[in-house]
Amino acid sequence: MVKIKKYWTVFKISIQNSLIYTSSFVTGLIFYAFIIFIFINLWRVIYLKKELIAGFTYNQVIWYCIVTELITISTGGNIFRTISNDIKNGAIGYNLNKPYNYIFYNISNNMGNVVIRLFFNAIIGIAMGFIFVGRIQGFDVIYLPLMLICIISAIFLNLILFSAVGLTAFWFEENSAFFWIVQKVMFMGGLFFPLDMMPGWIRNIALVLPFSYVTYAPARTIVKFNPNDFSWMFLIQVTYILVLLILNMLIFRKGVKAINVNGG
Amino acid sequence: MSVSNLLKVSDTRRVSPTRKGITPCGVTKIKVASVGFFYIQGSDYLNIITVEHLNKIFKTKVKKEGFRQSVRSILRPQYKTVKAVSDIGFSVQKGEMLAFIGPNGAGKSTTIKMLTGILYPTSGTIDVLGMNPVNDRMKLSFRIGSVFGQKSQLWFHLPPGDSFKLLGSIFEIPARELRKRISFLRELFEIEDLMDIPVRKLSLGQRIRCEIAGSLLHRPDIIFLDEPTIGLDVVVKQKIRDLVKRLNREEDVTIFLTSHDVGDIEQLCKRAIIINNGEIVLDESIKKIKYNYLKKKVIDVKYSENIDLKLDIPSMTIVKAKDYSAKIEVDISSGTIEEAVDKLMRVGSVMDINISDQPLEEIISDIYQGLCNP
Repeated sequence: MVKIKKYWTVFKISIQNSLIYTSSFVTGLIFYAFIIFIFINLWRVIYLKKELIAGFTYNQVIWYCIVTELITISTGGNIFRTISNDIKNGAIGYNLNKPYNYIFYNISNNMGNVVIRLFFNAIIGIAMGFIFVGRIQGFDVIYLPLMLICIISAIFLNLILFSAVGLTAFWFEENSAFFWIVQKVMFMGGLFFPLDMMPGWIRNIALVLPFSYVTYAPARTIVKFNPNDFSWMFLIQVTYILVLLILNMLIFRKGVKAINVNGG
Repeated sequence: MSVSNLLKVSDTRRVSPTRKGITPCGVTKIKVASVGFFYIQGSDYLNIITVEHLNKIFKTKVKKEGFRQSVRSILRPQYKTVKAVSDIGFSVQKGEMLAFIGPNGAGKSTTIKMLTGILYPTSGTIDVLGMNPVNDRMKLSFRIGSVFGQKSQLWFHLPPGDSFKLLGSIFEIPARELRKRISFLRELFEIEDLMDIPVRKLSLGQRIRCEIAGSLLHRPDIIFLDEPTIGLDVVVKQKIRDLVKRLNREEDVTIFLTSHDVGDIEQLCKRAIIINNGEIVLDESIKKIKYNYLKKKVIDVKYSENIDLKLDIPSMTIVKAKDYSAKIEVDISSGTIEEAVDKLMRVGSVMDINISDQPLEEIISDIYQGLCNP
């Protein structure tokens, strides 16, 4: 219990710390509102002649984008930057000297920032959705907690993915390229539009990769909610979270052995 | 709790291991008042750090100048091995204040990082508090503390009080005990007024006091101080030194100190290990270093009249001479103080004369450069 409590404390302190960076999440908020506004207009033009594209209505596709952007913008790339910088400037020495798991520490440390951003972005996103397209078609308030679980687990998965990318700094002095690659792959994993609109073979590839469980799968589950789809999606998300956590630990263990603390 | 805490140890001496089954740390012979001698085996007692044949080799990529060489280094990278630490061995006893010194790039930080489990040694053995830092890094971290003067473990935007609570939780300290500990350290380090100010608004001296206090929350047996007084002014430096001394006295914390400031070493430590190019060049008490390596005395002399100082004795060198005063260095291996003073007395009417040792700083710098032989 004491072992878990320390990560809870890290999370609480990181919330306090994030509240100091008000300008950071206010600019994030403006960016989020701007992107959603662009999507609302873009999709409105596309849907002028059709009511249904690849099984999605205009209402569903807008809410879809509100959810995918909510997940990715709220998560950001902080965990990648923190881990990479820790390794590059040798600050990791202080972390290795502490009785905690470095990966869990970084996830809890980032969660504070994520939760704050998620909270404010969600208010803006939901408000914009209601104003421009109305409530999600077929929305049932009973499923709201499950929808929240979709989002939280997607955020976890996203953090763990970027933490693994950050850990490559053990071997690569300049590892931002990996970050950009993963981020772009994430675009193809259904960030801007549902994978259902993609050619079948791309969709099939995307569906076996973890990236689509950060954006496509949870967003689709939310806009076309049914308990069966949710269970499957959640199961795959959890499996990917566990697999990537193990991968993180393995990379970390190997990386620590190869560590070359910069600055003597 | 160690034996030295339970009994009043009046005399400790290491004896060489002769019997089979003795741990690498050897045997410590202890004389206890009114009881007599007894022996302790292993590392868990008086020797709390033991290092033997420790090596660390880094592999770094080399690239020669020019465009062609840049392309070549991508296609066929060349590596150079750097021996950061080369076959070193030493031991530290419980409650000791040890200075681990050397010029930049000598291997000090690399050694500290191996002792704390941050870096993996290439070969050799390390025993810290009966543990191997590589295998027991997490377990060991509960019993050691570290302060790196150039890096911070406190949260930059939050007051130290919050960081202390976080550290308390990380070190699994029960809430009531943590409160007690914080209030004790707050008083000791005189940081009561700083507890609610964000760390970014503290001065360097205030921050370092908070850093050290933070690293003591979990009552470590050993604390590694890596240049704790770097960038501080004289008054603050003195304050930090006094605190470290008090800490060592009151809590019996072993201090492992690296510093470029000879004042830190002179005032805090009884023993120094000097490392250069990854090798230990000296492991001796400060007193002995001064005794063995002190080759020069410095004489400051003031005359009542303007003098033109010219010396024809080879053991004497003029460091500074201006109008009424002069500073002379005397090489006591080739001449005597008596001879020097006698000579200076003859030059003019002396108002004041002061003879002092060569500063430790110079002695150490001579040892680094290999200019000193005992």
